[in-house]
Amino acid sequence: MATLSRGDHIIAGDQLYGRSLRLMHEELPRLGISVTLANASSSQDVARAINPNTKMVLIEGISNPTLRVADLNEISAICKDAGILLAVDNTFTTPKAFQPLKHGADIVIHSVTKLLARHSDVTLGYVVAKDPALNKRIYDFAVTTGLTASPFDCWLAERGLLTFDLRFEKAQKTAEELADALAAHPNIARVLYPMRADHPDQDLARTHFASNGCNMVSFELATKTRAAANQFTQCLDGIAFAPTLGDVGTTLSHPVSSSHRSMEASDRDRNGISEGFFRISVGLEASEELISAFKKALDQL
Amino acid sequence: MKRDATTFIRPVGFPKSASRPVVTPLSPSVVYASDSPDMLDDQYDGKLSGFTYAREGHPNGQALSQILDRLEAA
Repeated sequence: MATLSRGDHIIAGDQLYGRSLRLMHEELPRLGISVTLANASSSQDVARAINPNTKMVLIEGISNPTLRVADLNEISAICKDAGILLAVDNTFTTPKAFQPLKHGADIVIHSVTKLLARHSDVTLGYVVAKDPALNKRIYDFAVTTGLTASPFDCWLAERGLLTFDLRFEKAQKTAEELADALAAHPNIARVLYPMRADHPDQDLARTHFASNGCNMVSFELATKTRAAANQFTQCLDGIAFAPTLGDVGTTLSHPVSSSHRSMEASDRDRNGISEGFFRISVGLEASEELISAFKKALDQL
Repeated sequence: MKRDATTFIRPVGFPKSASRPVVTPLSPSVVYASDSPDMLDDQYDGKLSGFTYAREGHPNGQALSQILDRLEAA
């Protein structure tokens, strides 16, 4: 918002976080800024949405909750050609796996609350621009609108970051193992994990993240009903059913009833987000314990 | 101002220590006091580095953003 004015146009990923979508659907149009949603894992889709007044493209490195990988190198080349700012939300990806500024992004955004601070006790955001003048503009906008972070929250986040590397490595390794274990279970229809061979963006994930993975795994139950979803969360022992991610403990979320409840049902269907769809944020538990908890719950369906 | 036994409204600050803390100290102060209007001008003009009003920046925010900037290669 620090860089957009009335009459400008913004292209945003079609699977943004629910509140970001609300900003796109309700607040920006009210201020005279028009919005087009596009599929960020297709650079052609983004290119098609460009208008003469497009000022910014805003996408997530890995989308929520279907974990599609954005075609960042292609999209940044398209943006550069057209003189459009590229902003990337790097929350799911984390800078350990991927540094958008090195891939041509102009602005990087984080929910520090999640994997960076990682103790579910801080509500904090971060934004940085490559260009110092743009960085100053964003800073001034934040000060003017009162987006000041509390010193205590910053202090907690800094403490959390001391172990960021270790946490990231452990969680992504467990996530990979859990994804494979889930995929082998008969009561699971499909598993979405960007590093798996059956993920539609596996090649992009390998190019972007090298040997790193991510700690997010999504899956769909074979029975795609609310009744099965309720039964599953009630059977799952010791894992918090909570609409967040990036905690030290594993958390499970159900997008239809939380993050994506304001998404149109037709958009959810198009993205395959059914009542049986769940998203796991893998934490730091022992891998065997975690896999056994999920298996036990799945066996009861 | 002379501090007497009945006046407790001014904080005494941290005790002096030749050694330093190994953890970043928490600084919840909303505002920072300068010596004079000239000094405040120098701070706003960038001739002197120092915090003014926490809305515009504070030590814990700056410490955290230094780490995040480094992580993102900004």
